[in-house]
Amino acid sequence: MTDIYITDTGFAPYVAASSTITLSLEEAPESYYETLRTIDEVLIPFATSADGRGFSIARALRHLGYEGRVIAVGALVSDQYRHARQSGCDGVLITKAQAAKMPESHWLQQAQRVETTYSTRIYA
Amino acid sequence: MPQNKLKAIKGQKPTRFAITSNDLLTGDVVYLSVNGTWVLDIAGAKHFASESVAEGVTQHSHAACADKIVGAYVIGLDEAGQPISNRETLRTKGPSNYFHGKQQIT
Amino acid sequence: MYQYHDFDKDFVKDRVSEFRAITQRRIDGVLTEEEYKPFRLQNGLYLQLHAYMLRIAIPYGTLSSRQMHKLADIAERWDKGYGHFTTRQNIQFNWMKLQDVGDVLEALAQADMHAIQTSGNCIRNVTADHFAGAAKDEVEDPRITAELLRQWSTGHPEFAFLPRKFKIAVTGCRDDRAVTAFHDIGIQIIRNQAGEIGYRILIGGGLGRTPLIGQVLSDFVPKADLLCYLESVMHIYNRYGRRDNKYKARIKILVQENGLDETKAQIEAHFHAIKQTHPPLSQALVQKITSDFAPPDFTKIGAFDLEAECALSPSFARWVAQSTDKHRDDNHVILTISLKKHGATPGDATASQMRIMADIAKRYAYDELRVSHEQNIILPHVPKPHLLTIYNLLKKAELATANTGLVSDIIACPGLDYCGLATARSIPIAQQIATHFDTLKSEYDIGPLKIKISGCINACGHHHVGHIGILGLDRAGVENYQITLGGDGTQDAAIGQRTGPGFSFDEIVGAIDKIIAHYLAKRTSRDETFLDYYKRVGMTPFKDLLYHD
Repeated sequence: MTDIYITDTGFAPYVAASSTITLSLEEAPESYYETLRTIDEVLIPFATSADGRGFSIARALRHLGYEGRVIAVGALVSDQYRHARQSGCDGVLITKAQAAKMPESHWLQQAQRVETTYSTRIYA
Repeated sequence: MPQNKLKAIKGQKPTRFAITSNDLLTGDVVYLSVNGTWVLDIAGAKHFASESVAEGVTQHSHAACADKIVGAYVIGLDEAGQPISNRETLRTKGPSNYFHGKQQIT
Repeated sequence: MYQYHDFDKDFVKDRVSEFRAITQRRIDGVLTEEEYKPFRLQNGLYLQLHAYMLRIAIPYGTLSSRQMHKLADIAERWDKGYGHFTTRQNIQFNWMKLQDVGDVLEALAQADMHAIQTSGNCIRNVTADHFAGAAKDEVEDPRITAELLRQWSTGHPEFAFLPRKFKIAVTGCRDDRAVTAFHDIGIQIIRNQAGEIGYRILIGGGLGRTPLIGQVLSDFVPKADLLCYLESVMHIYNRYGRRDNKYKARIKILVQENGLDETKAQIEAHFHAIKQTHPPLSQALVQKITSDFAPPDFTKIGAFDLEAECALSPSFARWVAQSTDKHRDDNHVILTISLKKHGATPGDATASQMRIMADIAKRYAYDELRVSHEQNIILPHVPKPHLLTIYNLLKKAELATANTGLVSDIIACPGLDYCGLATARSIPIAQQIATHFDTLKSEYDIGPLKIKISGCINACGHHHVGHIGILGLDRAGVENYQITLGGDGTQDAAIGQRTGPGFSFDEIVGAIDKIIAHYLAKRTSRDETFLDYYKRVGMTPFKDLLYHD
């Protein structure tokens, strides 16, 4: 029962990268970045849709220079797709049960909106 | 101006219970009636003798009526079927400063 | 004022369709209330006691007449003919229906308005000095900074799901009318020794159940670094703010628990880490914003003998004395329109009143209005020759109460009459106090006195910073009102001190009367304000008269 990996092109079966790690929100990525940077893929967990720490963790990873795949996983709702992408995630990982409630079209609608924020406009 | 006098009595305990909520679409204050519908007038509210039974029914309502109501909870009533708390009294009457809310219905 | 680009218009329209789509998913049962609620709140829609309440953003409290007209239209068409102006320069409509809100948001979008981020755990409306652009000693119009922050914070992807709400205020003057010391971040525009403009940043101020005065996070952040610096503040808060307890989730608690030094170290470490790669602001945008806030041409108005006009009518004179403040141009004044007619609900205006104020602004006052956090409407630039005409128009609309800054100019939250969080009513108390002192005809003798009333411990009425604060609580099911004295929301920031046990609904007005009667009897002269008097004598005489006489 593969989970579903969502990107701007929609749903696809999730295939883990050759090396992958699920972060803990309690462990600052800065403190072990030298190890992290060698791992191909990082999963950032979202325990509830109200807890936005993962978005800052994603941003922190990109500030550190991380170039691997960053995936937001867990209790996100489709309306958070753009937050995940704009914070530096490559995509979102959900279960089939979640996908039954939030079909591909919901997520694709959000993919359209990735460009429509002030954060892409106020900077030169 | 209505200037509702709130007759709350210090430390008064309820003798019976009802379930209230707000209508999902209109936001109107509603009460669970005897036949399971949600009514605007507290006079039509189902009374429960037991608070725990009322709580149980409330839990069930959250799921069963999620498309009709938002946030059901149990309230305490006196013998006359009127709310004990100031907050619930205001919800039956409307605010103190304008004839808005329930006064427009009664 | 800021003129919407196509992008701004598209952004707001896009949010309207986003709101409609997600609301439909709620109505259809695809989303639970738990999943829907954060999005409902991020579009300013609360469920209150009697109905849904929509809080509309009025960025830094600034409105055009066209926008004020739109608010009047909404009040009439989708609410009960009135609106309530709030202590954060916004407006609230108390009687919304969920199925109408999409249409309301669309109507707002037509006037370049929205309800985005007026609720929820996100960055809220950035407030600013309501005299911005008009006050004499301003370093720079704070709304330029506020507008930049509005754009930066609106829809910010990283900071949409914070531990709790986040409030920022900006002042451009030494006289702080923006209450910066009681915001999560308070920003004061200053010049350094070299004459460069930058920002003094305060952190961790707040009211609510744990009132705290903001501390200095940075003495001077250069203009060019502000957004990067604030990104760092938000990043640290988003990662480390508490999420286990709603009442300990504001940044003030993080600062209190970790200490200012450690919080500052974390923020500045992050700032230095991201500074090099942080993109520069669009200069075109900065220039556009700056030029949008360029002051109107005041030179068209010549000298005018306002004193002579005042001498002809004592009521006009009184209204001028009470309602106007000095303007940067000698031939203009700043006018405060009091929404505190004696016995009325503080901060409420009918649709008809909104239209009258809008028309006055358009015709006589450069088409600009402001909402102050003290729940009054400001016309920032009023030519002196127009004052009498304006006065007569306002009088007809019951908007010419000459009580600005006096005892009946009360700030009150909606309280238990409307609010799902409240523990006691605040509006009837405000009405009774105002009527009481109007009957005694003693307001002018009492002089400047700020009474602020909150209907619960969340302090939306800002009672902590009232010269007299009233906090309505629930004691065994019965309303009980505590009094605080000596609060101050200006640059002389102070948190009011509690007098002692509270008073019942029937007793509270009498207690306030006793406090003020004592002040009148014991002050050295009319020049000693209530606040001055309290600072001089302290709490003891008040405790005595309230509890021991």
